[in-house]
Amino acid sequence: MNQDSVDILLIEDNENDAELTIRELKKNNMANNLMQVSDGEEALEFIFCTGRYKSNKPIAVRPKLILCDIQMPKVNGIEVLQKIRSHPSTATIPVVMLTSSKEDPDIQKCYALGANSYIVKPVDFGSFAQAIKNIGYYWLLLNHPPAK
Amino acid sequence: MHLKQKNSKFFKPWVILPLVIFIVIVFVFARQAKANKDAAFWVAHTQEVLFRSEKLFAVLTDAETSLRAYLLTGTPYFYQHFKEAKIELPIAFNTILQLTADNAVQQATLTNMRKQVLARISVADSAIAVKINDGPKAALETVIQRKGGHYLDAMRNFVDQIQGREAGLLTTRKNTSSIEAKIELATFSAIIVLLLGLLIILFKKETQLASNTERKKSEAMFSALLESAPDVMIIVNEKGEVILANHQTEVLFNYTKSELIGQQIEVLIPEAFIFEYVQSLGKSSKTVVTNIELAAIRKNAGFFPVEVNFSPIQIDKQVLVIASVRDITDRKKAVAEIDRLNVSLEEKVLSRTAALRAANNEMEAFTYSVSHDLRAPLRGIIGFTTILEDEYSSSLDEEARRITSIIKNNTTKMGNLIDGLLSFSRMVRQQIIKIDVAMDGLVAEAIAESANKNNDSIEWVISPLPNIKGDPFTIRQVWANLISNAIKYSKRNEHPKIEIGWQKEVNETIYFVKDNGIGFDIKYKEKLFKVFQRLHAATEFEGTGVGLAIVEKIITKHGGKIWADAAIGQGACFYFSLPNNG
Repeated sequence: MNQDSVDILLIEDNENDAELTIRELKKNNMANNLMQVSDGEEALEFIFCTGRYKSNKPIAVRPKLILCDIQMPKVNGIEVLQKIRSHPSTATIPVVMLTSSKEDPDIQKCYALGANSYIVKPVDFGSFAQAIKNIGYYWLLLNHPPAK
Repeated sequence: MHLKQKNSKFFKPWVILPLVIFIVIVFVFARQAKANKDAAFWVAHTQEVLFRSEKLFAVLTDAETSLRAYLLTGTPYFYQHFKEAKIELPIAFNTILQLTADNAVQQATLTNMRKQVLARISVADSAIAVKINDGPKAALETVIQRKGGHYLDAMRNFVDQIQGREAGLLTTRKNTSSIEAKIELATFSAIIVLLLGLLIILFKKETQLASNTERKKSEAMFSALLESAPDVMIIVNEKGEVILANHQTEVLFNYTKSELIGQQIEVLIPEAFIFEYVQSLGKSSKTVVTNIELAAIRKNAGFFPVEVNFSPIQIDKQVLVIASVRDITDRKKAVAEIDRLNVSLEEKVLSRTAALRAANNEMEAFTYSVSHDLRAPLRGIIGFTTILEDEYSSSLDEEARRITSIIKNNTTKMGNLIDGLLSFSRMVRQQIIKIDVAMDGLVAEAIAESANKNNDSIEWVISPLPNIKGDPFTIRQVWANLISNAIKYSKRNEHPKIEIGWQKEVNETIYFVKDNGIGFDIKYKEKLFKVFQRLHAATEFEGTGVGLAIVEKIITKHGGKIWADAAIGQGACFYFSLPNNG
């Protein structure tokens, strides 16, 4: 995959969830330029071209959408969101927060930090698949992203 | 007792004395009247005597002059006149003699006078005889020789004597009677004054006696009151010296009354400061000292706490102070115990609160983790089973597809149970914020929401509902739950009918949702509102068994109640009450 033109960055530590998500996006032909990282740390390295991604050209890695799980080891989704929003070059990238739980106490915090959406992943696969499809459709096709 | 009182009242001297005084006054007046009458009598008597004596003298003079005139003139008229006078004389004498019968001196004078008159008459008779024999001249000489000329003078003298004596007597009598009257008056006045004085003294004594009896009675009552008082009662003078103490004083302070009388009250209560209290009485409007706590000393023993009240009383211009003293040792102990318990209770509450908060936090973390960590694997199971079904359907036979379907159903059910459990636990922690809630609106919303998934064959009977104070978000959930239940359990009826109504009570309003569905056995009503308790098989009616548990939680949090009425096959009615005042 060409990391220079990523449309969707999926930050998900749960490999099964990631697979189901990617499967659904692929099914709808929206995963051609999808990059998946498995935790917040890797996500930040990728976004800011540091660590294992320091050879990337910063300007090239601006995705159309970041799907970010909240509960992750090391650096969680909220910290990732905070970093993205606090950096001028990434501040306007649409970020959709994904969570497994309705009980998530961080929903307010996420919106306050500038999350574009807050999605609870349904247990039921049909609903989950529908949700992923809708997200991809909306952010990649309907939404007009800010200029790079 | 009663009779005796009546008698003694009747004989009370100050009742009789006025009577005596009255009698005395009447007597004095009677005496005075008699004296006046006597005086008048004596005046009349004297005048009578004077008149009669004058009359006598007149008759004498008449007799003498008519004698002489006859002797001189020989006119029978004069002789006749002389004879008449001579007849009148004894009568005149008798009259005076009778008048002065009680006076020997007058009688003697009169007797003497009569003797001389009789002598003169005999002279006159002889002179008349001389005239007949020797002519008038000789007759006159006889009269004159016999000192007829001095005769009248002598008579006058007698009369004067009688009159003078009588007048003298009158004066004496007048004087005597006036002196007597004066003495009498004075005596009686003195007696009346004396009686009046006596009366006053007796009256005073009587009233004093009565007031003494009253005083004794009230003293007895006072002392009984004092003695029966449950508290220590001590009366002290303005210097703080004990004048009176009741039995409780002896009990509490271990002194006898005789030991206490005359002692300073400060011996018992060192900080009583009665003198200062009495000094302050005039200056401050606050005269009664109430419920001050002081230390007291028992005889030959230590201090103990007392509650003291002072109130001033004024008797005969002397200020006394009534001190009531109550032993508050037990109360103090109780208060100390309460304080101690309060402190430990507070500590307990604090530690419990902390524990509760910790438990709550733990619960929240647990809930979150359950929600998050249990759901993700479920999603995986369902997701991949679905992929298996969708993408590998050609490789799966019918039995394999049946099994994948069972896997998915169970997993879905587990997801629903987790969701239900989470909403219940969320409701337990949910804060209720009460505002004015329009029930009609909530019911309409709940029906609209449920009707989406159900047919429109239901007959709705909905009364306009009164508003109430409540948390609209959770109350909405109550309606949604009860209405969806009603729809769910009546859907098998050919003509499902759901009735929504209310009833106003004094302190609460009762709302109800009634259906004509399958109902339930009322003996299981206790299980209705418990988490995961179901009265119908899940295969028959879907559900997780948390809906009514959540509803019950919401109603309880509002201070209301929820209950149900039902019978198998005859529908169910769910009632909930909410307080009217919020």
